[in-house]
Amino acid sequence: MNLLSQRPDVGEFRKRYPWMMLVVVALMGVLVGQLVILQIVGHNQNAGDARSNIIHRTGLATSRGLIRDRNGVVLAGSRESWNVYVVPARFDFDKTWPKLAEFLALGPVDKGKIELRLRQVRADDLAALRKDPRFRIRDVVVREDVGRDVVGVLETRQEELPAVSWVSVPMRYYPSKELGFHVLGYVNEATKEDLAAAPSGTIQAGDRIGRSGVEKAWESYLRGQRGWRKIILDARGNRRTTKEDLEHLDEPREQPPVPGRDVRLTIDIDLVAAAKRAFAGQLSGGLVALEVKTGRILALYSKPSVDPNEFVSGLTPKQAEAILDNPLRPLIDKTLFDAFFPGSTMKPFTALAALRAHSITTQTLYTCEHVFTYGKTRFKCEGLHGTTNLHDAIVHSCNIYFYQVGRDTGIDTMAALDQEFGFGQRTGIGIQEVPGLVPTQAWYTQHYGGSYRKGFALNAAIGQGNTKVTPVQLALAYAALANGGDLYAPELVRSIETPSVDGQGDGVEMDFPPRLRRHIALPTEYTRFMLDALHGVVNDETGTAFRERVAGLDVAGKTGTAQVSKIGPGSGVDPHSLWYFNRDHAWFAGFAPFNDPEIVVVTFVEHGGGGGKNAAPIAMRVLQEYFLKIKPARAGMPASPGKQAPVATKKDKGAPR
Amino acid sequence: MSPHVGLRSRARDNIDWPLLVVVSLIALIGVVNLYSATSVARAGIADLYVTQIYWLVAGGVAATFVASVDYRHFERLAYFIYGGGILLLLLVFILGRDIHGAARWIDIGGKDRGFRFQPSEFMKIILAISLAKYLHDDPKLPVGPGGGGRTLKDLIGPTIIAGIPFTLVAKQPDLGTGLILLGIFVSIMALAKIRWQSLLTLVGVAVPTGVFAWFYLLHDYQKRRFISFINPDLDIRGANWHAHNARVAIGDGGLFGAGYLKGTQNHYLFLPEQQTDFPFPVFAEEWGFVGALLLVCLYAFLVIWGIRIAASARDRFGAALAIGVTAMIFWHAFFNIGMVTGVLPVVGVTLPLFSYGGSSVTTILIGIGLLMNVSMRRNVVG
Repeated sequence: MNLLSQRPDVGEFRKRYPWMMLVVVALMGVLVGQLVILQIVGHNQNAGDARSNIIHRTGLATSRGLIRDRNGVVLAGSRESWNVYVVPARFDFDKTWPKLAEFLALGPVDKGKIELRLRQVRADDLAALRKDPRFRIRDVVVREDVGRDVVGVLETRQEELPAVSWVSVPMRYYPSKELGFHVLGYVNEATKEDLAAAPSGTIQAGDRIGRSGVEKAWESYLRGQRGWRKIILDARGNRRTTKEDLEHLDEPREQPPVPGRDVRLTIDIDLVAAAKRAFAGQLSGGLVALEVKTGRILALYSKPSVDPNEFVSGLTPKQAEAILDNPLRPLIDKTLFDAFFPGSTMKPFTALAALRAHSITTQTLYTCEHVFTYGKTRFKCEGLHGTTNLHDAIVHSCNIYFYQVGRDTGIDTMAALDQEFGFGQRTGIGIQEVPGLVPTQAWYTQHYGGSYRKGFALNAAIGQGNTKVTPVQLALAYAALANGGDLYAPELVRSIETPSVDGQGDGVEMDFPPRLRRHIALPTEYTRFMLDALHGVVNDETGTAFRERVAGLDVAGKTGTAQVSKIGPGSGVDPHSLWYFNRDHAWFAGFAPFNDPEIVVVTFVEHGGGGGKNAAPIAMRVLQEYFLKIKPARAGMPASPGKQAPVATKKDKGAPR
Repeated sequence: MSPHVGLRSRARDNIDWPLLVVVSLIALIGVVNLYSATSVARAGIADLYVTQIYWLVAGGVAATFVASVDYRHFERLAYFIYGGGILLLLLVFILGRDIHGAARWIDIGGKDRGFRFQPSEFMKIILAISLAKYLHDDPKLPVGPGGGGRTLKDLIGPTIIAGIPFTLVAKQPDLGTGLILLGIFVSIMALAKIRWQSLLTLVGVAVPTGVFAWFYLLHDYQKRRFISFINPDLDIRGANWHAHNARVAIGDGGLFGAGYLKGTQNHYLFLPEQQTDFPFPVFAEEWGFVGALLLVCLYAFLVIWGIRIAASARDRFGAALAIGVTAMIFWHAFFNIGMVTGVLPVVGVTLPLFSYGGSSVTTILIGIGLLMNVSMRRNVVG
């Protein structure tokens, strides 16, 4: 610079320039220092924050395993359904909300409620974001179980719906409706308590979990495992999905969900349907059919029932009330979850106990004079049988014969054998059940004020008094009688399978063999004798079930007519229904074919009246369906559980009879 | 030979090439960065970089014109220009349009087709000219052994000159421009020798004034931003969220950056006003520390070069004008980068030649024209 050319008064400024430069360098140095802190020292932290700004995890729903019957028919499957979500912190309540409410067909009340909740979450999230810019804002379910039609509308109007998303959530569906309710159980939404109790990550709000039956017992196999996928969201909450966008995702990009395992039941749903048809004339009861030689359950039917589909999306208060107020107790599985007086169906076991204890022989005679007095109590018989041997006492179901057997044998001797046959204990079926009761002298001492009376043994001998059994227990005991003494645990689940990808569910993970609980050692002459007697019940002209026998079926069995504890007015039951609730329970326990027993059927008609007239015909119809229709139709099919069987087997007329 | 002829021929020879090169370089990088910043598919702003080029050309023409007129004409007309500027600021209150709750613009030629014009931008240059004029006309030569210097009484004039536009701008309200006006005022006055007793008194007055301003002049949103800087925990989603994401974007760049057009935070809309207030984070994320350092160095060079031009100016007006223009550029750059890096609170200040905006770009370029003017005429004897 040419100082000579400057006017001298510029000199006032001259000392300032170096200082100014110094200030500039110093302040720019501060900026560079801050850049070093942000870009070099803090790079990892900031790069992480930058990633978490845009990369978000979205949960991938898993699919719940299917429940199939033994032939592959789906009893519990899935149907399409979607949940609609909103990100309240980024949601436009003025523009988007009216549209969304319209598309979802929200009523004014629902709309008001949901809006209140959304605004609350929005306020909370924005407050949290103020405190911590890294706070993750939430999304909120606006509507669950939305159908394909609504989602179609949402998809076409996507542009107008920022901060709205929808996720496919398959919903449980039970095609067989109320037919399978008691065995399958149902699922419904996880509660807060469930979420708190479950290990983290296993279930999420909105998940549905098994509440009863197989759905509950096999929950851990059926549920599957959630997965996740990383997605790119911009600052406005919109999802970005182009190839360039996805390049920002770091590995691993997703964890695929593990689908739940399929459960194959031993049930044959066609046989259950047959039971339902056979029960058409009765109000309440249950039916058990199982394989004599394996203990595998072929059918469990309990009436009345409910449609489990109603439970999945939550019952309305009205529906719940109707179910709970029904005096016939539709929620109770009458084959397992309640125990009843077995009545005369217990007589074969009383007889076997007496024979084994040598208190009688197969030839012992007692006399029936219609009334039998023991102590001060008068016991009655249904008929007047005169002097009777054991065979006829079974065939005619003479109570007085068995009172005397009970008197001469003693309650504990009888109870010991009953317990060997599995009465009074849970069977181990895996779903909810009650143990029933086989009273002993000790039990009476405990429960009847310390005084045991010998008369109790008389009632126990004919399956009254305090003896209570479940139909499944009875069926297993008759199976053990029919197969020579093998008491099985009832098997409901045949196998666990990995879900089929291409419709071929051939990935058997676990195949459950029959479970023998114990072998009951009884002299063959006794069991042979007893089976003949049971054959007589159906096939002797004087047998209690003779009139119900079916041509072409060689059935043996025992009827039962169990008196119930009488109730009077004021017990809470509608007085007009008292006659019904005081009526006897009707039982029939039978198996076929007699020569080589393969299936046991126990029919229990609650308050059905006489067993021969009311319960036996139902059992016969079911046996008929089994031997004449179902079994021939299945004959051509492989027995292995792994192979997917064709569903429409009924049309298979070429199958050998 | 008339002085005018001599000036013209000599001035062409004396074109300040380093100034021209560094300004062109910043403008070029600015346009390139603007393309990236607005490339996010947001309809309406995607071709802002083209408009920016138009503005740069228009500003360049204006700068050439400003540079070619001897700055002493500006000195003569300084107070007329000042009066005109104040009038325009007053017009804003009558005609101004609201943008983000602040009236800063005057529409010319209709709302959509015409352009909007921001008088407060030009006021920055006008203030530099006016203060330079004042110092030019009021040479207090060092007197006595203590060196003499200005008393508070001598500061009343320039304070009024700066105070009127400052008050008008702060009322708009436009805190950013107010700060820049203050920066220009302080920087120019720093040239003058002021008695240290007077300085002490000044501090004694400034502190109560600040308190007064806080309670009566600042708007709530301005206070909030200030508070959010002092205590980030109290912030709303607004200022602090933006500042946070700006720092994240810069830091995400690392040493070498994500690469041009590959910055994620801009691309996914985490940088608000990315074309005006936040172009630096866009640049820093894509070009990393290396790019950001280069840019800071370019600004530092430009500013130091400006001070050097002032030092070599042939008269007091030229020196003070050069410092005023240089101060404008410096405080713009420092406030903008300081705010996005988190050194300073978030105030709406643009990055010179980097931010989009017609008034901003033309103002800066006119300032550069004045700098060039002073630089070219440093050796002219007249």
